[in-house]
Amino acid sequence: MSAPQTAFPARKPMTGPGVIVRLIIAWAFVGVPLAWGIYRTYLTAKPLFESVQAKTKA
Amino acid sequence: MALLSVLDRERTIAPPGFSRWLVPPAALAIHLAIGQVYAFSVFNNPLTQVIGIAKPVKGDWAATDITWIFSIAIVFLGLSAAVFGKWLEAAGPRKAMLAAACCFGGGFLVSALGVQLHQLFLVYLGYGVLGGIGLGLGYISPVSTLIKWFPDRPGMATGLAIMGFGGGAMIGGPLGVFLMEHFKSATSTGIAQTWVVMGLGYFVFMLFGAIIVRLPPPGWKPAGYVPSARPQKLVTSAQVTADSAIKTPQFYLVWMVLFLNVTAGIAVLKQASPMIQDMFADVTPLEAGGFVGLLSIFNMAGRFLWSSLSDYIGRKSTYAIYFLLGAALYAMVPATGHMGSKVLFIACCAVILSMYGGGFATVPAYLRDLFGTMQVGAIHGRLLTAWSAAGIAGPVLITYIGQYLIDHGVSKSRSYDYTLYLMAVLLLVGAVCNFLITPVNPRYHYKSEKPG
Repeated sequence: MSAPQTAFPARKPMTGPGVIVRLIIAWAFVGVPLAWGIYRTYLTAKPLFESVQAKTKA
Repeated sequence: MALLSVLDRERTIAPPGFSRWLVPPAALAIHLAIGQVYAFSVFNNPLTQVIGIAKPVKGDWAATDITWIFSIAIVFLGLSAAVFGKWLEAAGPRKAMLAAACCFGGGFLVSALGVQLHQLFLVYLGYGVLGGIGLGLGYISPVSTLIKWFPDRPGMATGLAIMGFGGGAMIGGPLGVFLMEHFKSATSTGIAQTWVVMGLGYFVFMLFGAIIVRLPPPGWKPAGYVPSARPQKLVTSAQVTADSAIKTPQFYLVWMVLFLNVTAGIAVLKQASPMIQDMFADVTPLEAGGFVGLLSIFNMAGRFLWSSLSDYIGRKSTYAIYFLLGAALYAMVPATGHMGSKVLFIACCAVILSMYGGGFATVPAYLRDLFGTMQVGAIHGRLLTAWSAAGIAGPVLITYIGQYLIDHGVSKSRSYDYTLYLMAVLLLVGAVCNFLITPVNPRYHYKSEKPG
């Protein structure tokens, strides 16, 4: 009995280095904009930190 | 048509050797984009000056009409998540993510046309209706896929994705401001051009998620993963369909749990800036803006940290912490204001907001525990109506109670006290709902129609 026919060709298994490269690209693609957003938010919050710090020192 | 077959559920099955850690970035690409909705307020003022440019003039849109854009989007988020949840389970994540990208990106483009033609109904239709459908589809599309890839850590996996929704505002806010500044001219506020760029940009960003997402092969388990031999009381190995789930008391109890957690969180989120300025006379508007920014970081971080913790201590215990610790913190906030302790005030609000975010991120795993993985995306979609309801009820409740107290001679800073005490009571009601959640009656379990 022959193997069942699929509508699309079977894909090749992913290899170790290929997986690592994909992981780096995928995480960088979402990580870089997220890091930029967190940094921008930190800049917005900075005056509050400075004010609290100045009060604590005083 | 052959080209479209790449969207089929069968074509998204992962090949051997695929790393499951490629799925969270796919989910994040969707949630980071649609999380922009939380930063929509950066467009509120410019939208009231489309004709006047420098200031509102006769014929410009009223601020009260502008606020409807966000409200319509949130309502359509809940409706589309509820309506399309079952379709999503059948169609697979790639098709759903692409549909979300088309709707969300297309919503920006239709809205840009609305601004250009100065037709507000086109903005309602674009960002509100079309964008709202994109929000709903995008929000639930990666959830069940992640739960299937991470049966050992479903809370952490969904927390990672839903954290992106919190982080999306941090990107969308500054990006919107930057683009409007770039496109602004003597004859234009730059909103239409900004929305065209954002629509196309978000479409590409979300498309990336749709391209890399994969489903695990049937019966796949992580290497070395052995389901707990000692089953936890609330974690079922059975499956419940979305149609059956909404007939169970557990669904409505979880609905109340989400509704009350979100309603209370919105109280702090919506009032954060005026509250810190009214409670502490020396806080400037700039510092108050910083406080809101800080809260959004905790909102985002809480989504990942609390839902990850829920994998170890259980979903019911995690929500018990949200409600009991939350109620104690809400009741403490007025005292921190009267003591003049800014650090304590900020710390209390930060933890409260982390639990608000955690409530969103932990709920998909709670549903998976109660109803199984078969249609968890569709069940989650129906549950999100609680968010839509809280998005309307929360701000209305807070505004009217605050105004009622002020009209009856209570000072503005004191009016916050009563509002916060009321929120503490709401959280205690939530704790009771959570306490009442028990395993689903087996008569609701899905039974295969196959004989034998």
